Amino acid sequence: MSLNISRRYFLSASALSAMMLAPQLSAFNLSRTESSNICALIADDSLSKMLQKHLVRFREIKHQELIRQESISQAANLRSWLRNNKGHKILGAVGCDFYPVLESLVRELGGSSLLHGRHVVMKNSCSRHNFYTVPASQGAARHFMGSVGATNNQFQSSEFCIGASARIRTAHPPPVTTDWLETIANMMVAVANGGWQAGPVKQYPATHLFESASPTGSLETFVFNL
Amino acid sequence: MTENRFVALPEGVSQDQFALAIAEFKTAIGADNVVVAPELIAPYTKIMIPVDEDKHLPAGALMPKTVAEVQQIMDICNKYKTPVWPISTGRNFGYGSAAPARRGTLVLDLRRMNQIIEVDVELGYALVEAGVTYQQLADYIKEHDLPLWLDTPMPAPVASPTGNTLDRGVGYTPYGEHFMFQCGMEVVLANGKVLKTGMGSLENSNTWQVFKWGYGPYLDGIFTQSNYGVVTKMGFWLMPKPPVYKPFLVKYPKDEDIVKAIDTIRPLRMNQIIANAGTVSNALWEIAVTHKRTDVWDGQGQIPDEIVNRLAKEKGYGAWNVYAALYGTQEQVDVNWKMVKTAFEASGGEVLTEENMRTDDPLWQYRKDMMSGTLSMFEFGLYNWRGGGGSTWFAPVSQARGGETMKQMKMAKQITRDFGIDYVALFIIGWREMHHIVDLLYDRTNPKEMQAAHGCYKTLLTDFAKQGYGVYRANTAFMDDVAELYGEVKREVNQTLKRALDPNGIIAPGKSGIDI
Repeated sequence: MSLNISRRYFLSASALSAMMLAPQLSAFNLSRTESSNICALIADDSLSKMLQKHLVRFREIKHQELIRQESISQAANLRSWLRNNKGHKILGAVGCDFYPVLESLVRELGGSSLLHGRHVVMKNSCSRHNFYTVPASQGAARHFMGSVGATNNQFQSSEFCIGASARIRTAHPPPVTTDWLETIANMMVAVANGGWQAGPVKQYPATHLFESASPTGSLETFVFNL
Repeated sequence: MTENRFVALPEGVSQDQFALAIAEFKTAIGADNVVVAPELIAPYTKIMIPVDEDKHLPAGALMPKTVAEVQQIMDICNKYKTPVWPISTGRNFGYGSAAPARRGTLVLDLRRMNQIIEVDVELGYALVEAGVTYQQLADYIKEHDLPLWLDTPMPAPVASPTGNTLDRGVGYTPYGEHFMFQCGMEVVLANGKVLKTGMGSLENSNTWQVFKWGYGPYLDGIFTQSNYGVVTKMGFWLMPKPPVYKPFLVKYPKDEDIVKAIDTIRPLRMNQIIANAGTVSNALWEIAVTHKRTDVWDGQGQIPDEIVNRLAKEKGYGAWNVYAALYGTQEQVDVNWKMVKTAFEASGGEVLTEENMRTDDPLWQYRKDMMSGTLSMFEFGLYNWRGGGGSTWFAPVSQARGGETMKQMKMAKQITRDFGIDYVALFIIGWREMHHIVDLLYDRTNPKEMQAAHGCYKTLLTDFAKQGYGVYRANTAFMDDVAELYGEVKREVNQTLKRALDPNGIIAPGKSGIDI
C-alpha cells in the first residue's frame, strides 16, 4: 500500500529501520497473518516511542507511521492518511492532545473503535490504566492486571465496556511480562488480529501508593478498524 | 431493564419497541447508516467532562444524507418515542463532545449532509449543509482562490460552522461572534415540516443569506442551544479578506493588570478600532499550551503563583497577554495603530508586533492564525498539560470592565485552588462583555481528580450565580443545573415552546435543560 501523505509530517524511516532490525514476534504466538492489514500510528513523544519499541517486533504490523507533535493542526493530512488506510486496523499511541482529534476523524470516516487505553504514569513508578472496550476487547483491565501481576499494587486499572456480555468464560491466563508497555502492545495486536480472548469486566482500584504521587507522563493507546 | 440486545435504551422504550424503530430506520436511510454495534457506537461515547461515560451512552447513531431522510427519521421517532441527539460533527470537546445529554438517545449524525451549497464572493456569504466542516470550506476557498476569510473556533479543522454557531460558539476575527453573522436556517421540525427562517420562507427569495430578520418574530435564536428542530442548512457571512492585517500582542506583568488591560480594550473595541474578538490569556494558559505540568512542577494541588510567575518571566510571558489585531487598508490600520499603541502603552502594557516576534514562536503563530481565520489546533496542547484526557470549560460572561474581570478572576482562582485545579484561563473580547473561559484540566484516570473537577465546576457555577454571573454555554452533564440558575419563568417558556414544537420530546431531550 502506498501512502499518499505529506512526508513532512509523517516520517517513518526510523521506525521502519527499527522494524527491520528487531526480532519479529506474533502476538500471543498466533500463526502469522499472511495478509496482514494492521498499521501502526505513533506520536513522537517519549512514552509513545517506548511503546513503539515493543510494537516493531510484531510481524502482523504492516507498516508504522510517526506523527510529529507539530502536525496536530494538519488534520487534513491525518484525515487523508486514515482515508488511504480504509479497510485496515490502525493501532498505536498518541498524546492526550491528538487522541480526541484522531478518534473523531475515525468516526467521521465510519470507522470503529475496538480498544482505547488511557495510561498515566506516576513519579513513583505507579501507573493508572483506563480501558474503553467493546465485546471484541472485553476483559482488557483483567487481562492487563493478570499480565503485569494482579497483586502488584503499583497498578490501578478500570474498564468501561460498551455492550459487555455477562456470560464470558474465564480466558486463559495471559503471558506475564515485565513491562506494562509490552503488555499493552501485546493486547493491541491481539485485538487487531482477532486473537483476543474476551474476559469478564473487572475494576482494580488505587492503593495507598497513588495518594501522593504526581503524574509524569500520559499516553492514549488505541485499536481502530477503518 | 435488561439491555442485552442494545448497549442502551431510551427511557421508557422497550427493547422490542426499539428494535422495531431500528428496523424502520434501516429501511428509511439504509442499513449501513444505522449504527447499533458497540464498536461503531464507541467513537460517539468519549467525553472529556467529569462524569462517567455510561451516563451519556447513546443507543446508536443514525446518519441521514438528505432532508427527506431527516423527515422520515422524525416520523419514526414520533411513532416509537425514540429520541435523537443531532450533531453536525460532534466536536464540542470541553462541552460534551458527541454524546447525548440523556443516556439511550440515538445520535443523529449529520456528517453525510456535507454539501457546500453556495459561496457568494460579492456578498460574502456561504450556505452549507449541517455536516460541512471548516476544513472543507477552507479548502473550497483556497481551491477557488476567493478573497474571503473564515472565522474559526479552536478545533476548526474537524468542527463545523453549523454546530459551532448553533452552540453559540466564537472565533477570533471581527466575525468572531458566530451567531451574529449567521443568516438563514433550514430546520426540520419534529412534525417533519421544513421551516426556512428569515427571508427563506418567501418563494423565489434571493435574500435568504443577506437579511437576517425576515418578517414577524425572529426565529433563528430559538434553534440555537435548543432542541426545537434539526437544523439541516445554515447561511452565514464571510469576511472580505482585508488588504492589511496587523496582529499584535500586549503583555502586562502583574495579575491585577487585568483591570488596566480590559479598561484599555473596552473603548477601542466598542468604537471598532479593535474590531476582532481577541483574547486576554493568563500566563498559565501560555505555559499550559506548550508544556506538560510535570515538566515545570510536580507538586500536588494548584500550581503556586510563584512558580507561574517565575516561569512566565523565564519564558517571556505576561501575567496577562492581549492578542488582538487591526484590519483594513494601510491608511486605516496606520491611523488605528497609533491610537491602539498609545492607549496600551499609557496603561503600562508592553506592545509587540510581528517585527518584534520570533518567527518560530508557536504561541504567536497560532494566535496570528486564529485571528485571520486560519485553521489551527495548536491549542489542543492544553490537553497534555495535566494528561489523562479530562477537560471541561467553565465559561461565565463578564461585563467588559476591569473591576468585574478582576473579581471573576479572583473568584475562579480561589475556587479552582480549593479543588486543586489550575486556573488556566483567558477572556475573549466581546463588544461590551468578555467570555471568561476557564479550562478545568484534570486526569480522567484518577477518580479523585474526576470528583474534584466535578465539584469544582459545580461550585464555580453556583458561587458565580450568587454574584449574578452566568455561563454562556454549558456541558451536557450540567445543562439542567445551568437552566435552573436562569430561573423558573425561563424554564417554563422553554418548556412551553418544546411542548408546542416537539410534543413527544424526540429532539435532543435535556439539551440546555429543556424537556417536555
